[in-house]
Amino acid sequence: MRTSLVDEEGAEFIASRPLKGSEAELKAFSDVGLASLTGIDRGSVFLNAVPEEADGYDDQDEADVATVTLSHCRPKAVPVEPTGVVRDVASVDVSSMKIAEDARGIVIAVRGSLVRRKGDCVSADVLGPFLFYVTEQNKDFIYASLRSRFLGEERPVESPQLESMPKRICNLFDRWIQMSAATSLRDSILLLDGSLTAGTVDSPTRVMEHLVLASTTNGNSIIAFSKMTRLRVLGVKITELENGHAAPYLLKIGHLISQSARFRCLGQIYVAHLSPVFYSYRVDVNSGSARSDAEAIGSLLSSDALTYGYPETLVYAHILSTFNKVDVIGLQRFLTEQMEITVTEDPCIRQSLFLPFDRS
Amino acid sequence: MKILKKEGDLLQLLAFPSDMEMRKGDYLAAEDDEGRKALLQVIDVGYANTPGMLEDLLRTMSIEKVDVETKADNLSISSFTLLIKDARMISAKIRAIVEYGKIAHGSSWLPSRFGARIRKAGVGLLKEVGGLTSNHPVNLGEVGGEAFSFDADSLDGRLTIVTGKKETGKSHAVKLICTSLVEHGATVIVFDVNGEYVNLGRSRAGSPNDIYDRTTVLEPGVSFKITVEEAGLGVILNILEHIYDTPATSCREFARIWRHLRHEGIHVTLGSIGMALEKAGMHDSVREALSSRISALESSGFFTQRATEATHLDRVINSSRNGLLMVLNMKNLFSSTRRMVVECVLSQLGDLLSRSLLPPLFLVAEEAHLYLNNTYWDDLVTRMRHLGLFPLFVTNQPDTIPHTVYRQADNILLFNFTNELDLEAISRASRADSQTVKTIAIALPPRHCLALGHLVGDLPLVVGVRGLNARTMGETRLFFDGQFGKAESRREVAAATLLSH
Repeated sequence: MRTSLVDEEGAEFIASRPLKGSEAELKAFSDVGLASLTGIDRGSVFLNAVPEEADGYDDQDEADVATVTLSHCRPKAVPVEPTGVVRDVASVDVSSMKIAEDARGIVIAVRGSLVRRKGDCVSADVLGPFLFYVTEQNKDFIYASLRSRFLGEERPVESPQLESMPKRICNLFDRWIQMSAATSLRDSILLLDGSLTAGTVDSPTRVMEHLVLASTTNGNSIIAFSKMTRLRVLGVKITELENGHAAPYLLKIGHLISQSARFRCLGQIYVAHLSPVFYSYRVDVNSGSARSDAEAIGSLLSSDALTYGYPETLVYAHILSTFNKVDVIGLQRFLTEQMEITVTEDPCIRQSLFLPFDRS
Repeated sequence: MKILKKEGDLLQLLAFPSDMEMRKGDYLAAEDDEGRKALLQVIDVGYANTPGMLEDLLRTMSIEKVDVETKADNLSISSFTLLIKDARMISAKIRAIVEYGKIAHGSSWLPSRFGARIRKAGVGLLKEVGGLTSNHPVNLGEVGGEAFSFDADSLDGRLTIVTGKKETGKSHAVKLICTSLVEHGATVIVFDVNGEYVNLGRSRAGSPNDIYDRTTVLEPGVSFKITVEEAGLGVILNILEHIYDTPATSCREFARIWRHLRHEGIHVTLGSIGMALEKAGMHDSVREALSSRISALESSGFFTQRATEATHLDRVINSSRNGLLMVLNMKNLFSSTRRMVVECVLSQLGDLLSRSLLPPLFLVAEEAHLYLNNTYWDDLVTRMRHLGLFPLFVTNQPDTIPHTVYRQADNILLFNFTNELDLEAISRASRADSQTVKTIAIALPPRHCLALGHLVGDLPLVVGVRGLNARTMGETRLFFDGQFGKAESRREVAAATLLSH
């Protein structure tokens, strides 16, 4: 998958990997996973984990919902147009997948990606996959280790429930890649999958502020896209709000939301209608070096292709980090060979009891 | 490698590319711990339809322009995933079920999908299962990297067809077989249309080889002539009717003259027939028709007036008791003369064999479709086989051989065909199912053949035909290799031609 480089500048861009020098952190992340895998009993039987339906919300957690209050103002439309200034674009995404489970815990895989675009040149760093065997016994250790390594948070916090660990590990890894990108890139647009809400357990305010500060210092702008959001105005999902303006435009809704002292968004919250037809997104903008949020979005329009109003580099980042069935089979084969475990199908209690009378 | 499912006699197996190198035609043995095994032949290798593969391919396509670098994959997990993505689906035919060392006909035993050990089946196992003997081994080449020989006995008393498209190695294989047969003391007669067999008695370097002293080349019209009396009235009438399209009335008059000469005690020669024709009372048109045909027979040079000049096949054949390769070089003959020679030789052989004056022999008919008329196909595969003449037909036009012949074929060496109609013609009548023929033959590389029938114990085998230390090439005149390809030489030739005028 090598792209043909058009010029020396493109070649230089491809060669300049922003995560160079981050090997130690990545190894540490990998080592935490490897250490957890030693807890697997060789020869034991694991069940093929059924992928759980993700809730689909890109907002960090329910804190976002809690912060919404309605004022009497109406959302304000901010027209945007391509600025003609092409900036480098970088996107970060991370995903996790449950690979197998036994009575004691779950084996999960985590993979991240950092995609960069400079004109027609697109390069990507795929990080992982990393495997973790998470049990009730080691989840505290794993969570604390990763928070310490990635967020520099030594303050002890209660680890989440076992079922929530994949998403939490994902979030921590995601935040670390975002931070690495913000500190190593210059004059770029940093696209994130999610929001800029600070104050949640995986997005401590100190860390988020550091992210924004590092980004601004380096002349970057941060734009966070949430495909699905819990935010509603008068009971209406904010992404359903329109005002009849011709796309592309932003609906400024930050002023409709009062933020609590504990949770706050480190950017302006908009609903972005960047495509004439579907779709609209919650977009948190920290314009950084750009003169305004509209200019930051306008730069994005000039710098990246949009698919249904969604940046193409973010699509790439998602594609490269997401696990599919083939990946799962491959990872299970790895476990079978290296950990000498057997992975079998999980007998479905519901099917056993109710078929053929159950609903399909 | 694991068995996925069975449909009819076809098993589908899942394999990783790293499991073993698999080619169409290879044999696998799927066995259990109790000495039972299924002998499977790979007929196709495709991609496994892994769940999510479409999604994965689309994902790969959509990021084709992205320069991707994988980092921190310390466990090389990606390579495991790649293996899954490249998983193969192997379609294999169940050729035999072997239970405790013997083929179990009609057995319903199936290897376990989870427990069966699947390995490549070597030549030893194939020979054991196929019940192949080695009384008179013919080293044909290799099967799956192992030397493979078949027993010449499997050609004895049988009809063999060698077919494939041009330049796939048919003639080479037949030359190899001929050489081995002669080395085993057999008599082999070759109808050599292109003069390819005339140097089989010499090594590539040109020195005499093992069969040099047992090789005889006969050139019709030069070193091989016969009298019309030896040919006999029946053969000459056949020649007149089938080769020269002589009307039935004229043939009847010819026969009348022949019998008249015999009745009068006159030697029947083309000359005596011509003279009798002048005197005989008949319509002028008949006389002219016969006269022109007799002139054609004379001008072929194959018929001699003098008995002392005639070649007696029985004497030539019986002169060697330790094997003989008799090559009838028909390279420079007109089509009509070629057919005439074949008619006469077959007739003589049939006569001599029926009187037990010849040992049973093998007849190689190269490009058989060029000179065998319909009557002779049936004669060769039915009557003459019983007399002791065992044909090997070699052709690149399988549809020119009648289906009745295919149906009686005991052995087929099938080289590559890309034309589906050709494969269809063979598959309808060969000793293997059409799916095997069509899927394997179409992928055969040059000098590889699919051997079917008795010589492989009815286990279709893909054989890589070995080289032969003999001059096997026909003497093809090439434009670019010869002087005609060089401008300078062309000018010299043109000048020389002008001078000669």
